[in-house]
Amino acid sequence: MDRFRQIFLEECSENLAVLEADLLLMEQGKADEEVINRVFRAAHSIKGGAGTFGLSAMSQFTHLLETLLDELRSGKRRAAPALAALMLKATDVISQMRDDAQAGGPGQSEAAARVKAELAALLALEAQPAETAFEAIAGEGPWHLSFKPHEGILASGNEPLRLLRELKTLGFAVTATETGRLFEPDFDPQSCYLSWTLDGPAAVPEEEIREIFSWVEDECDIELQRQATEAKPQEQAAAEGQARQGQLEQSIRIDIRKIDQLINLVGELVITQSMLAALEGEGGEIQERLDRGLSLLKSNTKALQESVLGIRMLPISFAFNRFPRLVRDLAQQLGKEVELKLVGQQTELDKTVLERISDPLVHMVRNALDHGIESPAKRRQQGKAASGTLTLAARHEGGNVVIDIQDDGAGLDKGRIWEKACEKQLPLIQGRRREDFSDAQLFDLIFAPGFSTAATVSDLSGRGVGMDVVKRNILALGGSVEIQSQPGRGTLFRIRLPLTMAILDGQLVAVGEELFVIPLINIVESLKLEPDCLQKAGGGVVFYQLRQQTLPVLWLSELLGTKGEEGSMPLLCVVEAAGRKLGLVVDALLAQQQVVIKSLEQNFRRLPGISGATILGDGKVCLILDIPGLVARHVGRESDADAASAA
Amino acid sequence: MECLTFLLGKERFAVDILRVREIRVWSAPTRLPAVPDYVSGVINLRGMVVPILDLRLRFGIGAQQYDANTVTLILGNAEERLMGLVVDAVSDVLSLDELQGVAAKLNAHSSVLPFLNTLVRHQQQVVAILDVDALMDIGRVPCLEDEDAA
Repeated sequence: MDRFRQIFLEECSENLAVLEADLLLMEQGKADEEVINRVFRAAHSIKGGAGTFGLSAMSQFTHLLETLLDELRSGKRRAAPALAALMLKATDVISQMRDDAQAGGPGQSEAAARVKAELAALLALEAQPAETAFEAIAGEGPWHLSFKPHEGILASGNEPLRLLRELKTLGFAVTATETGRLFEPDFDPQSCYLSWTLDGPAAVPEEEIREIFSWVEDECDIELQRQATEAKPQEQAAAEGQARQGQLEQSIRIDIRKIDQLINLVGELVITQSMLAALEGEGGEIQERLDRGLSLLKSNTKALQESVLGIRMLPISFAFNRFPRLVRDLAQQLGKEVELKLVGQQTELDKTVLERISDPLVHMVRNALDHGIESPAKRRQQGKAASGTLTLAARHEGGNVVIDIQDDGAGLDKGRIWEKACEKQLPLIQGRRREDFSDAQLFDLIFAPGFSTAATVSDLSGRGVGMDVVKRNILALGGSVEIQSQPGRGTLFRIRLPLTMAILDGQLVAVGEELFVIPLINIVESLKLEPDCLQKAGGGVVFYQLRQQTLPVLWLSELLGTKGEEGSMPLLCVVEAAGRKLGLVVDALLAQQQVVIKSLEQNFRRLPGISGATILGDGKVCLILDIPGLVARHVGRESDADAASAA
Repeated sequence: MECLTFLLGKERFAVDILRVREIRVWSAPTRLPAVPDYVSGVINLRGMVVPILDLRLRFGIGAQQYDANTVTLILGNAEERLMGLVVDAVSDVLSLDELQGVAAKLNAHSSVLPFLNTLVRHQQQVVAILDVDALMDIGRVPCLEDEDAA
């Protein structure tokens, strides 16, 4: 029973999402019959499920909503924006009740009682029958057309058959043909005695049908009318529901642990495959056959791995679909006009990544609305459209997902950022002048802990989470974020994320007998280490003079507590994270390969400088370096704050 | 309760046999940064990354050259976390009701004490029964950089 209850709660969330999205459409006056039916069905299933699982408060509450929707559906009531807004509030209440049910809470609240009273009051009012737009929509049944050509139509060169063919392309079908006076004695072969009745789909606009007859208007009689749609809405709705399901991709619910297990097994397979591949060929026929088998195994394994990882992939719309509502509410609250554009909703990424990016996205959207987009009056003053535009766009780029959050608002104020940074005495700027900062570095300051550009901390953005948390979350996912901004033109936040957290492209490096994986994404370049370029500075820290830059250097062997031999002069691998570079001294660069990431924490604990482990072809465990962590730890005092948060 | 007994030097220890998932021949683990010296590293156990602790070093009994008798006990806890313990050699399986408890005053400074469940006598020898959950408590394995991170 508990399991079914859980499934109900999950489905409830989905239905709530449908309610919200469609009610928003309704509020904007974009709802048609199908939308109303969809909303009704969603409410209906929530009510039914809640009843089944003993959530009577939820069931009763939803019943009110359902009744309202039923009146809408049957045309007794108009889909006015105010009504949609009230129903959106009701959706919030149901959502709250759902969360309470999940947490085993009471499921009753003041807000619920208030909204319930509002709904009840509205229902008690005599329903205003739908008049204008809605009636037209409600009355839009299939077309019924009667087409009676005059007898002389053929004389003018107009061929009824051609007209019928054109009607057919619109989806019309002949239901009856009347032969009229065809069989009478004064039959004239050059006259037309036939007439037709046809039925056509409701979706065809009237003008299109009229258009066909525009040349023959005075040579035929046409009666065009909609068929009545008394048509049992319930059955119709059910039929539509089925039709919709037919179009949807089929899916099943699977426990995520089963998928994780599958991914693990495939990871094993990949390792086994590379173990086998390590058997060097020594020639001979058997070896040749073995090699052929191995290369087949390799391609099959790769395909299997990709499709298994694909199971965890979800379209980003799962994260995006909460924004229409959020933006609407926020814009109302702030007295701003904002148009939200969502682009690339089908872009897929790993479920874990998706879940963890949602909150940072919400925060950045809030920020864009609160600080970015100006009030309508101010926008007009500056000669911009009163309504601002916020675009959320996702796309794949290489092995990454890129998410842009772009507004056409005021842009970041560099002067203000600098003032604020000084005021807050950020450790990052101590001992440095404004001229030392490039625009990008200046913008980056807004990610510093404790920073806020707002003159007054508003109720919206000042919720105790700053942009520093946003950045930390993105970094924790192995991603990055950059800012572009122009005064008066707007701001762009560009987030780059790995597609999945299960595999990464790595560079194997050797340090003595130990091997490490460095994520390829962090590597800037690798070069031969010139001893002359090394210099020691305060407290034994070693720097490397690479062209114009001075890089701090870390002997990887130091990580394991064995200081590298000063005599051997190996390679310098320059890595970068959060815009800062670090040189890692290694003995050799080995293969580049995709590695399956294994958690160290599962059986042990997190260790500094290590983000995880992988298993190599020979079955040995190999550690994956945590470059952002190492950089934060070793690149100068400016990163102290980050180091503390990364640990 | 049945216990698996093993040797560290001349001392006999035992753990609840139900907690022993596997007994493996020692194989060289991958070393880890910033861990105490008794953490030998991690090994690949059927795709899982499992830490290996040297029990001699942890108990301060003195280092031992690993040889053909050196074994790794893989222990599991309720959450199916796994950990390997390197011991000198495995000996018998004992049934606890054959064993008689020994009332003994223990040296309060023993590094074994925090992990000791009870002491029992078997034939002429004293066997220390270890608390597997205490052994596997990762919180007791400090990370060398814990301090400066805090």
